[in-house]
Amino acid sequence: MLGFSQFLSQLGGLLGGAGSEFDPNSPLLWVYIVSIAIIPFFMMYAQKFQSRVILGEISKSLGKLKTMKEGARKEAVNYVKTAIRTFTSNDPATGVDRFLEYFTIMPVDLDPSGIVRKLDHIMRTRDERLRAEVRKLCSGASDQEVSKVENILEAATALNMIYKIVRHFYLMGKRTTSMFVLVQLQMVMPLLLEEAEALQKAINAFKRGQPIGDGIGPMVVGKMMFGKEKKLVAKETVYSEDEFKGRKLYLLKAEGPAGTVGRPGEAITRLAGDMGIKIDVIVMIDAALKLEGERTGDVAEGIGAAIGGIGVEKYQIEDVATRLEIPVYAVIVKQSIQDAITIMRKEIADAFEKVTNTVYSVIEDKTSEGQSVMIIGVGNTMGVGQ
Amino acid sequence: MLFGKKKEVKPDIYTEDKCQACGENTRRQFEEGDYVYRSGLQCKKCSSSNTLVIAIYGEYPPEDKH
Repeated sequence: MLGFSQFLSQLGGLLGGAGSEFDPNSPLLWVYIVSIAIIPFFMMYAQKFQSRVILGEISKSLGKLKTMKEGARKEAVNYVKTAIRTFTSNDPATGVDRFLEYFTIMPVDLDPSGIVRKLDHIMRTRDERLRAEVRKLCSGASDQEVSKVENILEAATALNMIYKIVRHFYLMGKRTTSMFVLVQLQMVMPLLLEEAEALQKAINAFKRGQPIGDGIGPMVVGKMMFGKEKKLVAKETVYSEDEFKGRKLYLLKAEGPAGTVGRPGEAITRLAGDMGIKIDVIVMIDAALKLEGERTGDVAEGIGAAIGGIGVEKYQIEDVATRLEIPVYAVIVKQSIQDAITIMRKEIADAFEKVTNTVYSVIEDKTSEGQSVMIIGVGNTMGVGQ
Repeated sequence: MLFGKKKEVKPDIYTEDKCQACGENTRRQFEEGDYVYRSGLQCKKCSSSNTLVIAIYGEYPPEDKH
């Protein structure tokens, strides 16, 4: 068996030391020992250290999310208290808290046949129930005020949900010290924070009734409808008739300036289906998510139903279009998710003329005189009249 | 700054009125109750009260680009 000093000598040789001339009193000796010892130490504990660092980072972000969601709740309560001036003496905080915890159970998709109808039914029930809750919360308020509160509460609910999900995975990662859970959470955290910040900013726009980026579609169609008779065709959805170079135009949008997206799917089903109005072409105008590197406010045109959401409205529009063989054209204005839910940026408002010209050029190119066109302004019409 | 806190940039919010008589566009600060396609303020050029709010938007300083 080797003695300790012999062992160190050999070690020194291996590490490029002076070999047999190894000096046990040299300070380099300790550098060698520490260098060697640190490897198994990190082999055992590196992951734990990394977990600690990640937990620290997530904890900081979770703190930010908590501040945001509490701020949103407070703003919602204060708005109902001060701006709406309810006639009931109840504290709105209880109602707001109940709203924040409201959930929706999606229909079973084991047998997907007919799922859209079920989804539509559930979403309608949800919307009606929430609207009734908000009305109870701010009794005596106008429709526009009610829609503002509804939008504020929806943003606050989304923030609450983001916070709760992040907290769930954070605590789970902490309890199990699972690197996989923590790393995944750390990776998505910047995106979640961006979205949360956008929701927080959206509350300000909703409170003041300002148009948001998503409202560019209703803004374009609202201008076309201005000064014409508006008829209610579905819940919170109006349409007008107009003419352009010998073509009949049917203009459709959510009824503004309240913060609503209306029901364009139901409206088109009623107009083209039940009322039997002959439509040759559908043109949809909507905000669309841009890719990184694309410019906010860029306009593009394409084919298909340009509408977001859970998919019910899109299904209804596609169903009518397919059944009646109506081509659907889309004009979109590119923007980020943050731009879409916060005050409309100047770049988006500046796209107005270009979108209008594009829509008219699509009509001229794709239809002939005597034909009829349905133009739908898709999006939240908050702060945009008609 | 490498480790500095990102400063939150707030947009200036403007309302743009268009005079229906002379076509003059006027930009002003957003006021509570403004919405697109409601009547705007009196035209500064021709004093007509037939004006229309044609846009409401937020303008960010040029360096804040999404």
